Amino acid sequence: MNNKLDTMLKNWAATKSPDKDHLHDLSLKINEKISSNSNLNVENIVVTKVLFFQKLLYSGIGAAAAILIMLLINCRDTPSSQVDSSYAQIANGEKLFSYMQELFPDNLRWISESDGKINLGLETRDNANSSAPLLIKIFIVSRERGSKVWKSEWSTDITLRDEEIVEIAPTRDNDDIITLWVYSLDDGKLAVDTSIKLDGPVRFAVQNTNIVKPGDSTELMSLTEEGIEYKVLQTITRLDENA
Amino acid sequence: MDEFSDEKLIEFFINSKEINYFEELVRRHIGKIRAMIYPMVLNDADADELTQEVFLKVVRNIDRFKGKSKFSTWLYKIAINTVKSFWSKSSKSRIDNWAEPPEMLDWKLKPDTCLVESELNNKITKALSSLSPVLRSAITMTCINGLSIREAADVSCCVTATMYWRVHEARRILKTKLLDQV
Repeated sequence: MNNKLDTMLKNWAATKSPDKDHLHDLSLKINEKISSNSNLNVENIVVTKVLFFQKLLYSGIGAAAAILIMLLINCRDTPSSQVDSSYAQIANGEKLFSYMQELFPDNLRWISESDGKINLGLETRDNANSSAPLLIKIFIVSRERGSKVWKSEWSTDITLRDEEIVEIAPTRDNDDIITLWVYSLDDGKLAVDTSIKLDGPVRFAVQNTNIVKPGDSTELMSLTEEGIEYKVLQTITRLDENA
Repeated sequence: MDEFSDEKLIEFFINSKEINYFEELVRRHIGKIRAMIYPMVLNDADADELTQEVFLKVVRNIDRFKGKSKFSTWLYKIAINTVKSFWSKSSKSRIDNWAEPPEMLDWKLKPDTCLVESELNNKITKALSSLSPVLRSAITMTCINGLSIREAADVSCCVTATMYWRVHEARRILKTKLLDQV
């Protein structure tokens, strides 16, 4: 690791590091904020969460919502017990992304759908990311101990582009959070970072990195609670933007 | 308080709520955290702001630190997540135009040396800003801040192989951008 590039980067970092006085002032500011803010009491834990859709372009939402409702009605033909990304789901994902891309040609970053709730992630400037969109489906299945039949408990669909860091609140519970990042590798596989924290249908948190082939299902975790076995699964499919 | 480990200071702080224990933790780690954040945001004001935010998050969540990893690893995780949130909030993950003033040159050095160094620093800043957030954080942690691949993978919550690949990819891109320098 010790080569000319590293040395250059270290030298560069040294020129950018503040002096002791600056760091001392910064420390004082932190200490003042902690002392003056009663909300920072260690017994009063507040989890701060920044959601992408804070940046939604509200002006377009009305029109988008109408189209989404139409699409959702058409999208309901997929059996809930089916856990992989079926052709119908892929086609709906492509259709949805294509519609939204028309509405927000320069701004669409990602779309998520869970429990009938749709969120759009829009950016206020063109990020010039024109890679093909990817549909990620995360689902939780369960079965009672001894049973061979898995049933679908919950699922969410997220459509995003390569290298977007997407952080969404998939349920009404503000503590629930899903963070995703996908990177296309040269050999066609995808590197996927997934972080999920959900309170229901079963409480769990998982962080996972996988190298996967598009279309493959990955088991993110499994757990058993009160005699019921749960699995958290994920599939990723490339969408054809022009479909 | 030098004789106390970070973990001991946390324990004292949680039990007594005496701010001076936390102040000592800030003093020990503020330089490293600021140095970790700056290359990822490439802006002094943002780096200062986020450094403050990291320590405020730490104090809010201090009793979630269970001592399973080193305090510094936990701190780096919070720093990385804080920067990720900042990127998603402000769309500043790729910095095309710097709001920073031009670098102040140290004219005690020879003027020509000074200008060449300044130009090189600007090139490096621009090359870093062209990296995706994930690659930039990988190269920052490993090549600049000296974390091992394993530590960086732990901080980023990914497997070691992924971190190897990220660092390799970031170095490849930087070498291309800084072709005439390396």
